[in-house]
Amino acid sequence: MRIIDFLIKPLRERKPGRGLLVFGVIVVLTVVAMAILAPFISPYNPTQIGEDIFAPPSLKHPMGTNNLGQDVFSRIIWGSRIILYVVAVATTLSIAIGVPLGLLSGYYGGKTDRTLSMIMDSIYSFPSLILAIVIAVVLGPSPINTAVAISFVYVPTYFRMVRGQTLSLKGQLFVEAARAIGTKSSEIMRKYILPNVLPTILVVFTLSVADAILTEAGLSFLGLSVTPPTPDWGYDLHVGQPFLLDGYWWLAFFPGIMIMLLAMGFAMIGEAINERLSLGTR
Amino acid sequence: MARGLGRYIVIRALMIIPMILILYTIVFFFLRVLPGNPILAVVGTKNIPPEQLAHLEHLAGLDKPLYVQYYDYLIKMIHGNLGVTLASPMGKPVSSYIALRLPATIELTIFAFTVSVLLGLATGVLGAVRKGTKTDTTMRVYSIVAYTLFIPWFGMMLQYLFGVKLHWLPTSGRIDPAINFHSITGLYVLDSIIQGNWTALHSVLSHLVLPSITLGIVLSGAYTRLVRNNMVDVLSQDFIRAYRARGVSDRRVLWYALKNAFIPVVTLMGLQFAILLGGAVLTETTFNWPGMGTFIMDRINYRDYNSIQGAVIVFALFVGLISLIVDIIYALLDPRVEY
Repeated sequence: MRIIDFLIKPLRERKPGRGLLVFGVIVVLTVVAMAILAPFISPYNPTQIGEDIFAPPSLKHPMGTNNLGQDVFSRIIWGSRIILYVVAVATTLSIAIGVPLGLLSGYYGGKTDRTLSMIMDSIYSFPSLILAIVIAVVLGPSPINTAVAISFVYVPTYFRMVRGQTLSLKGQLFVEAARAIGTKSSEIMRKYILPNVLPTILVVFTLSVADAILTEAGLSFLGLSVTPPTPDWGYDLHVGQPFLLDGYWWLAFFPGIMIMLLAMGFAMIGEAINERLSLGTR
Repeated sequence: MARGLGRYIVIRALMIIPMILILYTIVFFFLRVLPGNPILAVVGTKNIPPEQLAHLEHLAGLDKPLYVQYYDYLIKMIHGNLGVTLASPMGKPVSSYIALRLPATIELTIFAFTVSVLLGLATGVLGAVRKGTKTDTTMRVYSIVAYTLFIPWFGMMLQYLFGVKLHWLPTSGRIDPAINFHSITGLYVLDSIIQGNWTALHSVLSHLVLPSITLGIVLSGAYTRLVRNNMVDVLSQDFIRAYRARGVSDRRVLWYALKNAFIPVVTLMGLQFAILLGGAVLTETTFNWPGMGTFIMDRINYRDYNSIQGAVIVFALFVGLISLIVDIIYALLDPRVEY
């Protein structure tokens, strides 16, 4: 409940950074609504091949049609499903693996912690897109495999942050006190440390979701995520590139701008929350 | 002091080794342990005679147990041998391909890196000096927008504008193929200067503009924010006020503040470099740039796992070396660093 309050309250308060937050929330909610309502608001079947190819944006086709005569607007609407699905699964996986590992590693310390940290640091310092490409290639093109590939490269982000916080929290008085009265380690981690790490997880979450969106789009732009004719923003951008140079700009323009808007929406929410948290502690 | 720094550099350099080993292990695991026979993937059919399959597997060293393959490749790697290609053409040393492709990526990253740092410094300082004004907010929005620009899309828009519409700049490749040009180092800018080939230099530079601006702008956003916040902090400190009180000119004061605010930026450069290389893959694909990124994508089409593995190791070494250099610069710049 507190976390929902934490999210809603800043929207009403007149504080610096509110504009960013409002913009971000509106963009993200619009894309989510598009994904949910796709069957009702999409004017055409996104995979329906038509005779009207390369039609420029008009009332009939608000974003024009592509090289196969498919309606770009409908493909944009349906494409939001893939990107949101992949990013949601990937982020859930990264958190589900990274957060507990970070807690355990930071709390118990020792050799396992040092080894694990070294592995995580190595993955973290390597270009995430390149590692995701290798994994996606091996697993094969499908949305769930893309999600697995992305989740793998974002585990260290959560691990490092949670581990660092756990290290500093476990030396604090309230944790020592809990230990002194004989509280079990599992309970200390769950009830004393985790709640204090949650706000930071939230910030890292919003910022890394923006990254994950760009990574998903990157993988599908490189043709490693979905197979045609599935509507997907990154892949549609890739398909549109050669035609852009012939002057058919709408094939590439709209999918790309959607990728950017969605990533920007999350980045702005993250930025605003980050600011609010650091204002609170100052 | 000097001995201490030397020792620090050696220890820091040794830390690259476990990083490369870990990445090698991860990639080896993913490429070999997961189901699927790379040879069959290369040939593209299951209908090849078993003897021929066995022969091909023997050639690629895939008939040995996994731990032997792991160990063999490790030993080869230490000697700078990254194995042989598995496909089209088969059996060529991977390192010879990488030697051709790596300079193109280095050239692109150097230019993009320069663009990103210069832009980041300019926008960051501007935001800090005009703190709390519209300009400050604009720079802040610039930072977020730049950070979330999708490289292929942004690159395409620049291609469309400057290539298709205005005909100012070329949209793909590294040099006009019609120009008579012989490369020595693979770094075309350097080569054309050495040879005094000005037509080539002009063509090479004009091919570099769009890719390096695309990648540079996308990466500049992170610097904008950091430079702005550091500058705001430094500008509010006592020594700046003391300078001002003594009547030191505004421009000079800004320069002193920038020098102080720059130290954390050096740390960010190390982290940004990994992102720069990831972004280079997308930039290269968008601009048809014959570097490491397009090399990986080419090899993926042939399922050439050896080449992919080799490329990842080269990338890891690259990232490791850059972070080593960044740490050394940091140690030299900041007298408080202990080593």
